[in-house]
Amino acid sequence: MSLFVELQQVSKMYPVGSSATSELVAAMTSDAGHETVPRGKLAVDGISMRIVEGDRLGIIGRNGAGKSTLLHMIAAICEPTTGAIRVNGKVTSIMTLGVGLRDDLSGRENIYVDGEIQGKSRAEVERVAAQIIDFAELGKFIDYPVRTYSTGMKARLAFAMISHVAPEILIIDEALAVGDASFSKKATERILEICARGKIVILVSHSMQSVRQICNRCIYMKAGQILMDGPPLHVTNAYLEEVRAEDEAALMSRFRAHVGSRSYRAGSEIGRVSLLSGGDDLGSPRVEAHARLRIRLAGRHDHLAEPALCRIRIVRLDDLVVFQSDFPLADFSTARGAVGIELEFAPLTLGAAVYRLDAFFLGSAQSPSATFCEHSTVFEVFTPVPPAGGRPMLYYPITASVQA
Amino acid sequence: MEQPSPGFALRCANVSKTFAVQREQRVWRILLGMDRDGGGPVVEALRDISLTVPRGKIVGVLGRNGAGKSTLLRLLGQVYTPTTGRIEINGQVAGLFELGGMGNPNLTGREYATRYLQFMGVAGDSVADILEDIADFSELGDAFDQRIRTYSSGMASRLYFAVATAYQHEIYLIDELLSVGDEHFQAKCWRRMRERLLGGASGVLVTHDWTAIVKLCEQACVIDEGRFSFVGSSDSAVVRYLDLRVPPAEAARFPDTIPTEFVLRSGEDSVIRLPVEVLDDVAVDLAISVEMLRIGVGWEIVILSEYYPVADTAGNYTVEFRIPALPLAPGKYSLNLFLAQRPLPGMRPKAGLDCRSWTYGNGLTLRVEGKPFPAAVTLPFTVRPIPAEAV
Repeated sequence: MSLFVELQQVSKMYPVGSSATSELVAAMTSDAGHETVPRGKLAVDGISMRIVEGDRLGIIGRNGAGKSTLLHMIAAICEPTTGAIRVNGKVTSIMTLGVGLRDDLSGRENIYVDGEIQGKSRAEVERVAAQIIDFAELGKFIDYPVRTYSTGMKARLAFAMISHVAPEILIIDEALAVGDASFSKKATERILEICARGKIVILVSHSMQSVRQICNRCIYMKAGQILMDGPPLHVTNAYLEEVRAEDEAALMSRFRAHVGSRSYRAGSEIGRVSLLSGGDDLGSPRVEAHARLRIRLAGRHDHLAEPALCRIRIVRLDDLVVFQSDFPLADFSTARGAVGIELEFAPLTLGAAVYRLDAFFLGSAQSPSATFCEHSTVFEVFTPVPPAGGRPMLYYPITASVQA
Repeated sequence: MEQPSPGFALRCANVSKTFAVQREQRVWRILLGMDRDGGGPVVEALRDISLTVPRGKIVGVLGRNGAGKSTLLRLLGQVYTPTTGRIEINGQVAGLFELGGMGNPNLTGREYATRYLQFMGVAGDSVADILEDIADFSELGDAFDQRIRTYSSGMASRLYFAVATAYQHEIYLIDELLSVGDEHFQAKCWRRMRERLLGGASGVLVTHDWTAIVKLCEQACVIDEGRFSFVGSSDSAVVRYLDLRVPPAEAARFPDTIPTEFVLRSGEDSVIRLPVEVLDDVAVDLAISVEMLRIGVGWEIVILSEYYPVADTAGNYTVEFRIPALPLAPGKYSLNLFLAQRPLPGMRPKAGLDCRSWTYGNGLTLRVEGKPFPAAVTLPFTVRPIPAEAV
């Protein structure tokens, strides 16, 4: 019979109490044998799905979406509050790597004990032990107690052991993040090998790259529910898009204190700044990389007899100033003090990131106390095709030619 | 490394840590006096470690799994005592390692934070503000008043990070700074650490992420099998740690006459002229990048070119990269060259033929001259007056 995991209306509720005492009191006063109404945090909310042989399922979602709880239930580490889970096949899980290793035994002894528990014969264990030891790359430490291992070493041993027992249903929770680059590469290859044998693999990860590389099916969880279920590329893209939208909203709210307009002198103010990306005539805080960007500013300044400047500054979210320029206000004002400036970047060469656009009317470029008014807004540069090889500060148009 | 600094935050001298490898029934053997000198096998986790952290600096420790990084941090955080050597600590320590190790999961997030602040001796009016900040930074919402055992692991690590960095400590001991939470939260942790450093904090960062080291540390050590195999500037430490295999430069290479420094002027249309010798009949591509490497402050790729085709047959070639209106502020940059064999269609990745990069320890310098300006880069633009009503 083929391997499968089937979830029917599975929910998991964690009790939430204000204190240990109140929970104890509640437990003591409730009638034994009666179902108490569950009250608390619904970590997983009525999930039904079927995972079949050959599925390499990736589970993605923000922290707290219920990913780990779902895995724990499939691995029978905890039970669902309501609903049923049917599993056909032997589940092997890598949750917190290193759990399940016996601290006082050496690495080698652990391999043998684990083999016995799996019901393998001595000869079978001997056959894989050498491979496991080789894969874990622990050197002389293989004969020292696991207690003496660092976290990374435990992770390597545990991964090596688990991946060599020919798992039928393999559950992995963020395991690939553990270990240095070379080990996680090896671990990824190993998982792909296991996948190739047509078993079931369930992977929870924050790395979209791992999910795309390993999985052939992906679910996106949010607030305990499955929001999407489909091909990894499609689902991870949707997730990233939503994360970005949420981040933008979070960003705007974080910068609420900074976004806006302030005037320190009567008759001087910046009323409006809009960003026009490409051929667009409507302002938008989302600006396309490589496209033309026009920044339009409107304000008024009634003190034309005195020297005054307009300063425009672009600051990346991590406080790196990427552009600053000053313009004499007189060049952009009408006789009645109305100011209108258009700044054009054709094309905009800024890399994908979030930026703050600050505009000031100043009395002097040197003295910061001579600020008449200021205005800030936030925008994001995005690109549908990020460059390979890194995330540069600028997308700069470089050309090349060759002479023989 | 040993500088006569007026005030150091943390110093350890010739520290070693040995763990006895205890076998079962050792307790009885000790009680019966059979094992008095602990004569069994031992693991030398750290050997002869000397390290000084000046005030206001974060010193990096780069190492692979099992090299002794976590042991070192535990020693500095006084979780372990050294077997030999001395550790002096000059200030209040916040340990950002084994996050949550001191947590009682039955506390709510708020109770945990309150207890931590009490433990650290924070009192008075500031407590309410700090708690507010922790609730805000950790993005826990209502869960802040629920018990930690109901948290997901990501939520718990957000709480622990927010609490440990909520106010200015003097010394931070950091293990894998950026392994907390998702991408969005990591950026926030990064800014928070930067603020604390600007606020005068000192610390030690142990990690295998070399980019974190060059961004945060001027000085770094490479730890390998419990010993420091390198102590020095963090960029040299990265070269040592990465220990990249320099491509053989057999089929194609840059001639020895290639300058080690290029000088260009900010704002001008610029040309970088690179001689390439192709020795075999292979398809060769070339890409360049300009990196801003301000050790301890930041590391970033500023400009990255695509791979341009150079040749398909053997010969001497000159490649000209044209950068219009050079957008870089005056200063020193690192110029990296990647000469690679063009992959056949559908094949990946490119095989390096000759590479020059600071990460290989053979990087070139790009010196940009000109009048300083108040931004990291400049963007070509035009400006014109418009009617204010048009906005």
